[in-house]
Amino acid sequence: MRKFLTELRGKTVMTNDGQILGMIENFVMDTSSGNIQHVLVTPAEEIEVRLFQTDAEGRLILPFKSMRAVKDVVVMELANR
Amino acid sequence: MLVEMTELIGRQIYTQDGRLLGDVTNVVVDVEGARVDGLFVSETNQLLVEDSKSVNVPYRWVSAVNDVILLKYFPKRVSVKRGAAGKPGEAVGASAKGVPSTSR
Repeated sequence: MRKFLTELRGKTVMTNDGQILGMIENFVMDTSSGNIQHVLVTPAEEIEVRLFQTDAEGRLILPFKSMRAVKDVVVMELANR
Repeated sequence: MLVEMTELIGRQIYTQDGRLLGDVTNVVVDVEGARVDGLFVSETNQLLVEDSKSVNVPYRWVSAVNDVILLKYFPKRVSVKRGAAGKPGEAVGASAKGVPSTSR
């Protein structure tokens, strides 16, 4: 499935048990290979940010490969949570 | 080099012989493959692409991403397929398709 970057930005991100993590803000890619490594997510208010890896701007750093369904919302399958 | 993907939007793309193809207007993401499928340019140089149609430049044609984006390959000229130009409104830019069929 191919999607425009601008379509993916702003989508709500949920865990596979239905918890809202936040909104997709950006992606981190490797320019030499074209591989996308991380999704940067603006955390929802009720999220315990300490449980996640975050960047300098407080965005959650989630592995791109954990993205499962990408429809109206994005479902993430996060290990050991 | 790791970059945030929105940084690519607005960058100029130049061909291997130094011609300006246009500015990146969007990035096409291959979700299952976790990779960038291509760089979408909506107003292309009409000397390179017929009617300045939108093209999705396959990421494998990219050689460098810095202040500008350099390609290692781009067809001499991209023309609109007469047979496929059937339905109006189904311009090349209407979806994330429209990759020039030339392969390497």
